Amino acid sequence: MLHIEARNLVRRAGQVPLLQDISLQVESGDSFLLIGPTGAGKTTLLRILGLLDKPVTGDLHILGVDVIRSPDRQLEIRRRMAFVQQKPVAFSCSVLENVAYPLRWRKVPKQEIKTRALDILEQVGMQDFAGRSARTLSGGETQRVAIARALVTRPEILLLDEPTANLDPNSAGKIEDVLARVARERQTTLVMTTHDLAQARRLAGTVGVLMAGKLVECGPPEQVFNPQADSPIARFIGFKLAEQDFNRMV
Amino acid sequence: MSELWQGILRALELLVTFDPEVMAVTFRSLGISVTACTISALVCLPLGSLIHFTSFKGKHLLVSIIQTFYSLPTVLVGLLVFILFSRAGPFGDLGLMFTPTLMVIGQALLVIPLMLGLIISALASLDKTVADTAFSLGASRFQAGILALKEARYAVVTAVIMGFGRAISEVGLAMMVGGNIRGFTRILTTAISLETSKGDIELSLALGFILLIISLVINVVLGRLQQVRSSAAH
Repeated sequence: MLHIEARNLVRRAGQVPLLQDISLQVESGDSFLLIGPTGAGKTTLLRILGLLDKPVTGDLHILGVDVIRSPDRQLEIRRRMAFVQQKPVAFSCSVLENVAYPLRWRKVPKQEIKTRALDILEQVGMQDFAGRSARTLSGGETQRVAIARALVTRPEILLLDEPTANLDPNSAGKIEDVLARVARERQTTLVMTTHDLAQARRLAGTVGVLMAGKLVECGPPEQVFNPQADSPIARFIGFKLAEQDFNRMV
Repeated sequence: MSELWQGILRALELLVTFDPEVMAVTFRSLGISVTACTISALVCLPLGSLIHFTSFKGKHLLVSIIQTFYSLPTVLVGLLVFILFSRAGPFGDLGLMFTPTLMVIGQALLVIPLMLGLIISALASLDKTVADTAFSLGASRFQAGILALKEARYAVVTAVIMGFGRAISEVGLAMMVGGNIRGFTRILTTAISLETSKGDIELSLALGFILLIISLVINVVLGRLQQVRSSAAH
């Protein structure tokens, strides 16, 4: 079953094209990783899929609903998804209350909210921070709270914009494990952007390569990571791999 | 100078002995302004959120118009309310002229543009990610609005207090639509105006002190809120 089906999505900022004719399909339970250089349009595409922005033209079906032509059903669809932004913001309350917010918005009973929130905080390794003011957390801790806040809703589709970019390798590994487990156990559909090609290889069921607002390649990792030698994708992937090797050495 | 000193002593005497006339005027003044301010807040909080979260043509123009009304002269609002509610006006049949109810309505009309503009500014200064995060986690527009108001609570409370300050300190409107009737519509500012013109400096000073005390309390509350906010952020 298709969870996301986008056809010919176009988005512009004034006259500047941000996304050009993006068409993609994400199957239920798939882990779709979007890679591409900075400014390629990954966040723009994710925001459209998260119903935070509208495309100028194109069709978008999420969970079987034509979300562009059915604005009255957008809230229902948004409640079946969750989106972790690149620079997440913590609300001015405790960590536990932060994680409880999406459940309160869904009118989940109080006792269940507390149980689920504490459980998810434990999964991301933040259980000891439950009573602490979320505004006092470091960037990495805030990121983990944001991921817990999204996971607590048990979304059918989870959108993540570079969720491990602010984390140290140990925390990033833990988050990857949580995401992989969620995808496996709950059949959650993941759509995630990343700069980390190794991470993309580890998590992806499907990889999409965005370059200059165009989806230039889309397929399983073994296909995408073995491009033709003279293609722009090969240059990007080759550069990124070399960069990561260099970072590992230093 | 001695007259001023005597005035201050007399004012303190009126205050510490809880002079019935002074207390009555004070509580009436507080009652009218708190009611006007509460009504204004009930209008401005949802309306401010709605304007902030809705995209529509002419939004910037509307916000500019609201901001222009920040400095609306109180006598002009008084004149408008007078015309509307005088016997010959469209609402003359309600018989509200020279009543505390009309003073509340007038003060609310005076306060609403200021409070509304400041609430819109407070929400606009909030990180856009807050609203985006709320929407992306399944909040409705109403729920996102409540969250945004909570996140901007310091600036929102400041807007409400500024509105209260404008209401309790205005004199022109209260004089025009309240009539300064003793024991009925006389409030702190109209009483000061009247007693000064009569030469009763002591009573005017006592009432002036009370206004100052109210302002002081407002500032202390505001300062306390600021401390709470900054301590919560660290």
